[in-house]
Amino acid sequence: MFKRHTIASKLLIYSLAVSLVPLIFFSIVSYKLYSANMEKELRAELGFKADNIVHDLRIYLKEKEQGASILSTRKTLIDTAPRLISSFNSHSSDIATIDKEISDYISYFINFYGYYDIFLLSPKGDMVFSYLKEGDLGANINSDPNKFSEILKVFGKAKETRQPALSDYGYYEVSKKPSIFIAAPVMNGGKFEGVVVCQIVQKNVDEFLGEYSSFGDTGEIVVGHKISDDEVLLQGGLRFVPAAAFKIKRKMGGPIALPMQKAVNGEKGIGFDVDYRGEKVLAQWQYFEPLHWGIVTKIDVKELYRPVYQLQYMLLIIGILSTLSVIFVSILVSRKTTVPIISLTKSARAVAGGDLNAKAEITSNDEVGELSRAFNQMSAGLKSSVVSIDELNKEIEIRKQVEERLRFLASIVESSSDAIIGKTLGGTIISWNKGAEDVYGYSASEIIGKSVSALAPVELKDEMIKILDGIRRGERVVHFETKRLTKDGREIYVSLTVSPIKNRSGSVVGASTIARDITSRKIMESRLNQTLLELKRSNKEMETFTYSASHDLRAPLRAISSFAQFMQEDYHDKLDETGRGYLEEIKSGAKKLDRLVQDLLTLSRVSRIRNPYEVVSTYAIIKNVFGRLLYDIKKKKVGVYIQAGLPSIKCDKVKMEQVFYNLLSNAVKFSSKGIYCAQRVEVGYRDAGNEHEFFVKDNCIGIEPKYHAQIFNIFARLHTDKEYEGTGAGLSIVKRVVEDHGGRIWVESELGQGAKFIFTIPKEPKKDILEQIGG
Amino acid sequence: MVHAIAMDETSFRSVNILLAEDNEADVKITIRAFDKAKLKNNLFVVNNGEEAIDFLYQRGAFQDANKYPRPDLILLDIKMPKVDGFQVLEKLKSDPQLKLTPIIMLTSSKNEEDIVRSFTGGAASYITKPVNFEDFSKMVNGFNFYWQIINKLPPQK
Repeated sequence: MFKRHTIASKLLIYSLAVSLVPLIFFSIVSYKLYSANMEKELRAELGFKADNIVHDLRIYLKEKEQGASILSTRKTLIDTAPRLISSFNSHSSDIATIDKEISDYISYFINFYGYYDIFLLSPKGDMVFSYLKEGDLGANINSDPNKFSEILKVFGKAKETRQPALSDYGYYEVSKKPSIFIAAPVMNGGKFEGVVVCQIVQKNVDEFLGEYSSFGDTGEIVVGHKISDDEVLLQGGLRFVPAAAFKIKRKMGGPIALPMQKAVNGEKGIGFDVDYRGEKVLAQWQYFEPLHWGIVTKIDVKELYRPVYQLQYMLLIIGILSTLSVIFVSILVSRKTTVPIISLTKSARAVAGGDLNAKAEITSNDEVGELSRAFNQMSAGLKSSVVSIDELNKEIEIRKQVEERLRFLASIVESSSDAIIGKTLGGTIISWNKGAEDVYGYSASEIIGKSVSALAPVELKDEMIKILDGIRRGERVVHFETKRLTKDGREIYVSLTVSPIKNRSGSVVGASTIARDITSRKIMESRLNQTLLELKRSNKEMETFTYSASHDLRAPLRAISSFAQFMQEDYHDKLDETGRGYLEEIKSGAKKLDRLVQDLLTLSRVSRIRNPYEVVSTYAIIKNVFGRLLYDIKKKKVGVYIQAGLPSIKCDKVKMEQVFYNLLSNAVKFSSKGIYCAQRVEVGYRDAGNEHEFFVKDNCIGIEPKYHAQIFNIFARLHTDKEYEGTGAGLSIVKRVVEDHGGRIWVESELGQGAKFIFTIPKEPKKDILEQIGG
Repeated sequence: MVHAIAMDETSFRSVNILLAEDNEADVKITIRAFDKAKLKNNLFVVNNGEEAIDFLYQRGAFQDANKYPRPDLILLDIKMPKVDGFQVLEKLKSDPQLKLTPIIMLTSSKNEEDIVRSFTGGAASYITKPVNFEDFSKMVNGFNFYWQIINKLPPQK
């Protein structure tokens, strides 16, 4: 006892020392590496985001500029402009009529491009047309260079360059709104007829910038304009001070809003700094030339380091857990070592006491195991020298058993409920068991010596002859289903197995037939087929119903949602805040329901439409899917990795594309959420014998194991609407298609660890059961 | 030879649009979306395919050619009582006088078979009605912009 304890405690101390020291070391190193790595990733991420904003802003402005260009080159406008200008100059009353005509036309552009107002300026700078007529109509923009400063600039530029021109973002006194102006020259052949000016106002700009303020809890995009040498005016995107755009100014050279100061000075960079609120942030700053904007994309340092704190906590838990497991393992090891020694000691004592059967238990292959084995060999050697007479008795016992078995076999033949018949090659029956009597109704004495042809219906006599011919050549017939006649003339279904009987020299002398009555099974089968057909029909009806029901549901939904909207618009003043809130709820409810209905539609379509299987290259499928997702992949800067050597598989091509599309678009969607994601999506393959095994892996949010089964259910939703748009039908569809092919799908994931969706497709996909029975 | 007159050159004649739609709520929603776009169109509404055909041939209740002019564009629902959208489409496309008028299918159905059938039958466009009114309104804006600014309509006799 004393010794055992010593071994155990020594082991414990050694292992703790050996395992904990590197563990502590490893924790410290990985913590440091992780923090450094995360900071690197965050910087890259923020850089991506910021670049995206600038990219989208360019596209946004380009689109607005395009609208101005299209309008300025329409024949209607080119023809109308000189008419307007000449009646303006001659103070003709025609101007009201022309104004009204062109207003209708202009309204299309206002509506379509979302401009606030559109003006037409004569070559001299007279404002001869304004859609909104806010009070600037009729003025010459040269008359008040202060008020019209931005319009003057773009007018001059468009006139001079004959190209569209973009103004800065500034406060426009006439509209009392911060505005951007886009001018496009109106040219008739080579003749300059005037300038069209389209106005965009703060509301549009804020909507645009606001879309980006959603990243993280504290992410924000701030734009600023240097209004003088020592002041910056913040012009939009303020998440923390709503409605403060154009009101907050910061001093150049001051202690706060440092990234903005750098941005408006034309610098580009990324780093930790103090923002306009005096808060410490990780920021990216850059200058946006077209609008002379400084753009700062930033997120609070507090938010950034949240995961690092989580890591610290996690490392602590890992430390405690590993200490506990080291203790546990060393106790286990010491037990493993000492227990066999004790047992060996026991056995040695038993042998010494005369028990030659005593054996040492061999529990391991180590030195102790070797010792036990040697001990056993020794005791066996002792034992074998003692002779026994038991052997003789055993021999007699075996003979008895053989006789018994022969009798047994004979009684099996006799008692079998299958008919077992022996016949000559000529077809004469020579043996007939009890089962044959039951199946065919003839007793053995009645039938032995007669021809088997008595058992076949007239139309099947030939079949019987053919079988016997085969037997002569040594062929067997196995589980052949056919019809036979009973003594009382009933037709029954039987399953036949006919084998040649050979004599000692190997030549065929007769045949044995085992016939099983399968009449009731055949009846069941035909009933089953009937039921399957009915099932198929009702399935089809169900699908058609789902389709048309979900389809018809959309019209009333549109009514609910739209009339709630009309009520909001028309009775806005009569409703209080609560009433308006209720309408908002109605609308959002209808919207959700619509999404569900649409998912139902998609799912029902997957079930309804079946395409024949063909051999397709999965690489080609994935390439196609990528084409469809390219916009998101580029926009969200997701790194995509496709394993080489993807196979060609036999499948429904359209649906398989849907499977990859749903999985990949999920992965891309998830990968782009949250600032902590290293955006990476991987598609891989493994040959799993009878099956192809594919996986799609992302490394983002991940899914808690308790949800793993649920996510494949239709409409399961793990994320609130805010976090993740879309419903659960995507994965249900994937599951449906994979299972229709006879494959399986599952997910491997932990919360925060990314998700790996794995599915298999059999190399020989199973056919649809409903299709098998002739659909 | 038919001389196509571009919409842009027709001064600012208002465009006549015929809407064939049986769902009362959808009619109101469509009218409101057109109003909201503040466009100078004349929108005529009929409630089923039979009325649509009467309207186009200016017969039955629609004999007064001044009150019920031939439309420049037709917005056609598919599922309608009596005569459905496909039947109207087939009828118009087989009539040499009416076959130039662009027909735009405006429906709740996203069914592929319906889409294929519409274009095969000679529809000029296929639009699904959004559930949300803001989207509906945007759709009407886009529709008007395309059909009345970018596109050139065939001439009216």
